[in-house]
Amino acid sequence: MSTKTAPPALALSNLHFAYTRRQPDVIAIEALRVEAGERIFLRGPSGSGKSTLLGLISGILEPRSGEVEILGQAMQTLFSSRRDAFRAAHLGVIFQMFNLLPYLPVGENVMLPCRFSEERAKQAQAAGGEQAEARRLLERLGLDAKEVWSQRASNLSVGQQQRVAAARALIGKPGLILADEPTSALDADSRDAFISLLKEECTASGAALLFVSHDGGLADQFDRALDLQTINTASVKETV
Amino acid sequence: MARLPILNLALRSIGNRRATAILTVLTVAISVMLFLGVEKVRHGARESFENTISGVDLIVGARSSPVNLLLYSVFHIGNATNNITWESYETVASAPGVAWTVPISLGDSHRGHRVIGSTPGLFEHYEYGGGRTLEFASGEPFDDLFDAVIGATVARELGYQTGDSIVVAHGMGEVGFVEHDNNPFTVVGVLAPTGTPLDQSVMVTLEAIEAIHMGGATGSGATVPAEQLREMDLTPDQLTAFYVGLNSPVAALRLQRAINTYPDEPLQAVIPGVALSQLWSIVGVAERTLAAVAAFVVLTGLVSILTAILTSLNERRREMAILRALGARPHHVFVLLVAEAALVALAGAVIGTLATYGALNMLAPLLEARFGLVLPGLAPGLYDLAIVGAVTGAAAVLGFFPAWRAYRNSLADGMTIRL
Repeated sequence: MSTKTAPPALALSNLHFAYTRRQPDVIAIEALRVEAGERIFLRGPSGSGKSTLLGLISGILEPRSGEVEILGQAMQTLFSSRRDAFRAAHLGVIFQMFNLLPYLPVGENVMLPCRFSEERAKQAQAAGGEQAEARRLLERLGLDAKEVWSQRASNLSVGQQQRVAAARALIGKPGLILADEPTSALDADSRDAFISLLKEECTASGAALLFVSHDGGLADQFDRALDLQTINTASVKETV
Repeated sequence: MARLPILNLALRSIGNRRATAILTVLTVAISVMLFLGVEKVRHGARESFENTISGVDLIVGARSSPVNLLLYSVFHIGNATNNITWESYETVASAPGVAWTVPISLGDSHRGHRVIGSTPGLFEHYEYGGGRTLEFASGEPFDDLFDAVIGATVARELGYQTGDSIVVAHGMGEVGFVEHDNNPFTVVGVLAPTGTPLDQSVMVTLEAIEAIHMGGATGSGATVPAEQLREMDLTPDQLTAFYVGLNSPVAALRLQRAINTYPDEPLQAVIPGVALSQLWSIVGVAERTLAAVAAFVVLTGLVSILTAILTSLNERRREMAILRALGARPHHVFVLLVAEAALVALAGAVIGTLATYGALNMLAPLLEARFGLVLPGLAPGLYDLAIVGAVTGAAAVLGFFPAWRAYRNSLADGMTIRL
């Protein structure tokens, strides 16, 4: 996987996808490339195929044709079980809201990726231990780790929850962070603070960031901005 | 997928829905308790029933049906169609191979309890519960003409002790219209509880039955003083039935045929075990119904697990999506839900079993003392383990249904969830 020059964090080529065989494509992307460590803003209003695209990138959905390559690994060459393992090891995901398992305390939520992936666990160990790393990330994201550690995730405010989710996405140094509208439930101030913290931490751990949002106003805060509507040439749009 | 904490997650997830989970566990526990309780009592009752009388090789009475003879001669239900003569009794009693006979004369009562006229041989030969002999809680067998021995229930209900005096009435009924009050009896013995109809009975000598009817069947009894009565020959002309013990049980069939074809009087002999199982096949319908009802209650308990999980499923689509994003495979979602169903059922079944045995152990002395119901096995056995396993397994199988739905949802939802 490691070549002389670092492979791109994400490379899509000629990607086509439809939910059923007879339907026309809902995703048709000729090329999309995110370099290692790059922080990309992808603008996509609702119905532009955001969710579907994220499903394709994470390997949960299978494209009709074309290729998804993550950190140099072509996803289509993997069996679905290997794809799930690969996702666990190399992708960090942050959703719009409700990122956390409500029945686990904050600390365990953050360490959850280490439970599902040996590689993430090893990386966290190398960084000083799972617990220490989780605490460090929480602190870095502006939370009082000691205070929130054993609280139930559902006791936190939405803003705090999103930070915990970011810490979870970052633990064990995955190569690519997918953020799906992570700030849409936040007010303007905490939104900007969240984005800058997330960017900082991605840089610190060397992860690329693909930040998807309908809010084009956020685009300036990233290295590069793309518009899903121009990239996705499929005629039929998602109906959600 | 290494270090997959699915079981741990299932436990935590159940813990998160504690209130529902506890209720569901309780439902399962109660249903398992009911089932095991019914099973225990069912087997106990069946054994008690089939062991109502043992050690007796044949019961002989007037010709009717075997079940009828058994009912009136052992269970004291209903009446004899006819009496049999003393001559026939003596003929059978002196037949080769007959070790002993115990005559039975019924027809009188004391405050709703049957009076059995018999001989002291009754206390010697009557066995129940697979070879247990009659024991006296106090006193001793009757000896004198107007001595009486009472069953445990009679003593408890009427508050009698040895030395008390009782009067016997003609016929059955709570209130005897014709009381043989010229000839009061003295209680000389109280039997320990047996769980047989003897608990409900008053036992007196055969001669006393004859004596109290001297003034006519419905008279107040003999006007002759007791001292004189004791001098008289009070051998009865007629009997209701008698128990026969043989030297060798092998002879039972041959003697039974001989009695059934006795030319001088229409007699009938039944082998108690055979007649008891005939009777049980009638009574047993209730027992089987009870077992079926209990089984359905367990099914209801299992369905309640299903309901709880299905209800939670929609609000947990997000949870599944998170797990998928973290690298869980669709079949892990499946296993998670099956494990949840199984864990809840396991907890319920184990709690139910333990509670059943706790209750049985507390109640067993009471059941035996009051009803003579001896419950088999008061510690959980292989059978209970099988029940716990079956309940857990059934829940896991039922769990396939919500698990399959969650599996499908998580395939369709992927990491995003459209609500």
